[in-house]
Amino acid sequence: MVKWYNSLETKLTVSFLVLILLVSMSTFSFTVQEAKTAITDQMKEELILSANIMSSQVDGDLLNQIHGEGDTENEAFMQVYKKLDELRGDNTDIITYLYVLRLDDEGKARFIVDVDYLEDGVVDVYADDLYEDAPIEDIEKGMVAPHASDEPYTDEWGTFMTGYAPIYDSDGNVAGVLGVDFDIATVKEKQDFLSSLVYYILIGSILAATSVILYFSRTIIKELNSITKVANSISNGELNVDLPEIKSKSEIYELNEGMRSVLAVVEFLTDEVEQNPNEGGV
Amino acid sequence: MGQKLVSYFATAKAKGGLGAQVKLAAITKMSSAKAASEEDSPANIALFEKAISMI
Repeated sequence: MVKWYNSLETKLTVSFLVLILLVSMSTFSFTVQEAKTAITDQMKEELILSANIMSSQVDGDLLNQIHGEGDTENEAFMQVYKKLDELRGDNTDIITYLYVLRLDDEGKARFIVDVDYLEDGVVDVYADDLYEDAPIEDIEKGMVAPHASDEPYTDEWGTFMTGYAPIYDSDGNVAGVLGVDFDIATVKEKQDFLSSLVYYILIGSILAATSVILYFSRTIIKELNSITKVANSISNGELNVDLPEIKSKSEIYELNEGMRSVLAVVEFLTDEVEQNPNEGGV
Repeated sequence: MGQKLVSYFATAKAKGGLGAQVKLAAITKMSSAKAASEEDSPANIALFEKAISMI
């Protein structure tokens, strides 16, 4: 009796299972990573395009008229605010935040106008308010050319991906930088959906492959065991045995036919010995 | 039943003795006792004819 850990069925099944798992995990990781990158890259392109278009609509000369907290809601401020509000329009489900920034002499980011500067009718974000935890590197890049953050960014207001684009005044100088935040939830939803889809497909494939391997290995082992049983019977002198019918013309079939020949020979020799005992049969 | 088939074992013995008979049994996968219980069908006869030609 073959112990289960020595069995061909166990070895075949475990070997194939390990192989399938390795290939599946590698495929899963690579595919999901590439898909996430593709989704993120697409969002970055959309952000850059949006920021670029919107920034071209904002008058940089107006930004030069807004300097400190006292300029909040002055004429220039309100004109910029109205433009930002118009640009965002009804797309509040996509564009979470829209604002204009500048960097002060210390390299810190400060709001010029935020389209959501009011909260419950009260000013919440004043002109020249410090933007704490600002992604300074991204903002600096955005002051040179349209740019999008590489990875989602988390600040006190949530997790977003942001596009930046410079706003020029009439002298061609950079008066500020427009920032547009896209809600990352949409991106994460797409990425999670994709991950789940690939995950379930892989699980299904692993289960199907394992079932097939188990079926074939069990069939092979069952046939081998049948032939082994006959061989053991012959060795015990029991010749009144039947070999199984092997349907597939495989190596197992060849072995079975070989055993059939052996059985026929042993039967013949046994009959000869029984019929000619004095001659010894040979 | 199988008288023709059994006669092939005699033919084999005449050709090569016990060894030839053993070879006949191996090729046909039938002992003489089993051959006796089988029918002298055209398929069986063809099988034994081929086996004899190989011995």
